[in-house]
Amino acid sequence: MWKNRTNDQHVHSSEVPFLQVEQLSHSFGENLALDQLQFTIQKGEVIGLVGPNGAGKSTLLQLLAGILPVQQGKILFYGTEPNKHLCIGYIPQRPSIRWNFPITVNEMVMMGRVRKIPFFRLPTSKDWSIVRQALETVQLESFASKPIDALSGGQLQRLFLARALAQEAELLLLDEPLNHLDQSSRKLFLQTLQQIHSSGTTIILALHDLIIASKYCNRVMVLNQRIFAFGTPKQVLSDTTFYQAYPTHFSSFQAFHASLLLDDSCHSLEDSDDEPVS
Amino acid sequence: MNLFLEPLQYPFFVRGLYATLFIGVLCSVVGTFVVVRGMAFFGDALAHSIMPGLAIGYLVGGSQRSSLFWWGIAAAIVSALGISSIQQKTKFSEDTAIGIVFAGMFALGIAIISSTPNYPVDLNHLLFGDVLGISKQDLIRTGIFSVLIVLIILIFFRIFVLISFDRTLALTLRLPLKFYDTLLLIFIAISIIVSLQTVGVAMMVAMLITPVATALLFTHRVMRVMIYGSFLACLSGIMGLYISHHINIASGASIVLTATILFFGGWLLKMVKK
Repeated sequence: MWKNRTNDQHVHSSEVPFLQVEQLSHSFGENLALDQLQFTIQKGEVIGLVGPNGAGKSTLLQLLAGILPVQQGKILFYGTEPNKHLCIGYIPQRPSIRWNFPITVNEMVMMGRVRKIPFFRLPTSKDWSIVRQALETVQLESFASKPIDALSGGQLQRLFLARALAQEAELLLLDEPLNHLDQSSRKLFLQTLQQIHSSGTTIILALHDLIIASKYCNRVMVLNQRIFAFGTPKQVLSDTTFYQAYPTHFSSFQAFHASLLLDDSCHSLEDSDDEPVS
Repeated sequence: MNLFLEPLQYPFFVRGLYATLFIGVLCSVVGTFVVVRGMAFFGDALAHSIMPGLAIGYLVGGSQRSSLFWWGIAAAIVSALGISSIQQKTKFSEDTAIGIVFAGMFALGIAIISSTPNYPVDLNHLLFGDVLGISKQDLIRTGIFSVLIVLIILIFFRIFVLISFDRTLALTLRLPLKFYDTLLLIFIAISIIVSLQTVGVAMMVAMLITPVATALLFTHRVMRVMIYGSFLACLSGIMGLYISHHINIASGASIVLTATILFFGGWLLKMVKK
């Protein structure tokens, strides 16, 4: 427990795949949530994970985060299991934090650095500087000394991003982060994600909004227990297998519109300044 | 002036003062986690679930306080581990696990007491507190446990705050949650036993909660809650002891009432400020 507290436990070599998933299956009791998933993700990608409710998106993200144990198959992050790494940031769909906890915004962001600070040492000026930079990136620096219950829903979502930044996450897993956000909060959140991605962070985000997935992600994975399609938004949304995963008319209609919005090359987070359409 | 100096000529009063200071700091530091994690029920239940320990302690060592102390600690740790195991290994919530263990242990204590003819009235001081009856040896033990627990909590402070605030982050940072949860429960259990002599089983939960709740009215930072809470608990202890001495009421009740009055005073002050 005392060993390697200040560093990630494994060296991140560029010679091994960033994230590799092999024959991954997961069940809850007798209910199969994920079936034989196999894919590889390169460093620096933005992956949109789409699928209907109950498709296994959250389960996959929790497995990738190392929170759920792998039952069958393999997940290799830089060649080893995710739970050996401290640089995976995960923001759940419904964060299980205590909202009335006596803690300020900058203290919450500093929590991302808990494993980087030894027991017998206080945070250094470098730690505080990282926290400050993280808050600046998410445009919450003016809230630094405010209690967290003073923030709105959109600000809280960005606060979680700031904490992942302070954690120096190389892989950021976001489970439906745009839920319950209004249009302007969504825009600001996506802009912040753009900025985080431009610094080299790999992002996997579960989404229900296919149009945002198609506009902002390098690749889109259509999941419903198994992978129905995985490729560029254009490839995926025009693939007929997509409609098998998404049986409802509304989603098919939205996907059709998303595919119409796509031009030849997909927008990347870096070059997209468009206001997200919902 | 004499009102303040006169009681100090009695060694038992001075020992009582020292004890309330140790316990004030200990209870506020531990109580901060009890309050922010919503574990008030746990504190209360644990204070009651030491009954079998006290009963056995008396049977083994008579009215020797050290025997009651160590058996009490054993019962508290068994209860804390029982609650922790039920919660971690079943789907029951924490309050359900507490209810099962607390009621079972309390019943066991009553069973032991009722099966022993002429069971001691000496247990009264553990049920209702008797800080003025504290011996030098008790004081030293209280001091050692208080300093040790506060020090360990300060060393693990960031970890305890994190596991209390956001368990998902704790998991992604690969912290051994069960280990730290159990450690915290054991600390709460020991703190309750150490503090029993001040206010007794019946009012123990007030020492853990009321000063911290008063502190929470005025700050939103965990460390400050601990500091303000410690100050308020010590103040309640000192004022309570003097009041108890001068108007001749039970010391435990006097301390808890003082803490309660400080809470309502603080609440009023906050409302006036608004």
